[in-house]
Amino acid sequence: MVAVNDAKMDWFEKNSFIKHLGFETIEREGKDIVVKLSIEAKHLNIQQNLHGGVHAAMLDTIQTVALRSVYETGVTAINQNVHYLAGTNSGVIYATAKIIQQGYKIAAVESEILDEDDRLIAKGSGVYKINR
Amino acid sequence: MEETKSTISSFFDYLGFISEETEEPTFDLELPINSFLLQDDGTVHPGVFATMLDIMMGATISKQTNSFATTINLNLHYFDLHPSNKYTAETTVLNRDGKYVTGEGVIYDEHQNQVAKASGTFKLNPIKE
Repeated sequence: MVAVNDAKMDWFEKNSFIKHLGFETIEREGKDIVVKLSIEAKHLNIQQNLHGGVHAAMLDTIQTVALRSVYETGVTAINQNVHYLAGTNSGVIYATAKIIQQGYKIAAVESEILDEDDRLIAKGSGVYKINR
Repeated sequence: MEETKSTISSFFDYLGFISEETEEPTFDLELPINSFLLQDDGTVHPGVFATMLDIMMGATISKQTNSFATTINLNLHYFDLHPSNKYTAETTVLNRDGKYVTGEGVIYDEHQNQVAKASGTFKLNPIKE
């Protein structure tokens, strides 16, 4: 895996919330962009598990990355579904996404979060407006 | 109302949420807008609203059942991502079936317009005294 250094991803570096949470992008096998998070204490809830808001933010972020890399313009989330499948509280997690419907003004994406052992942590989907 | 910023979670404090204890079996939550909650285009990251709704529903269910509430799923709708100076949220418990509770939550901007809405299902884990 190598760090992504692509002008198309400039927006990612300028996104304050993404930086505040500590999301990074990496490139897998030379083509797929993956969002990576090293879990820290600040990401945890009162039960010392990864906060559900972090999963939701990470899934939205990878879905946005997938769409912006294809459309090369901004997108706006309309809705999002998140299934929380396993708890985690340390280590590194990775998010990937797949566009399942690519329209002119609307697109649908699905995504998932895996941990370092390829255990499925969360699964999501969302519908986005393309800002044309 | 006593302000309790707060013992809910590290992530709660990290995003700048402020909670208020009420006499009601519900939970009041405020979020002053900060630049770190915004995206490159100046809109609020949807993850902020997802976090706020997850906290609100979880905390309300937890308060009403004296249990930890673990999120099983969330279904979120985003209506307006343009930043407002302050957000508030309300939660309603829709159903309880044994250890499983379903709730819904709404976020309002400073003009009381709905900006996001969610429903979610939570699993209860009783708090040991």
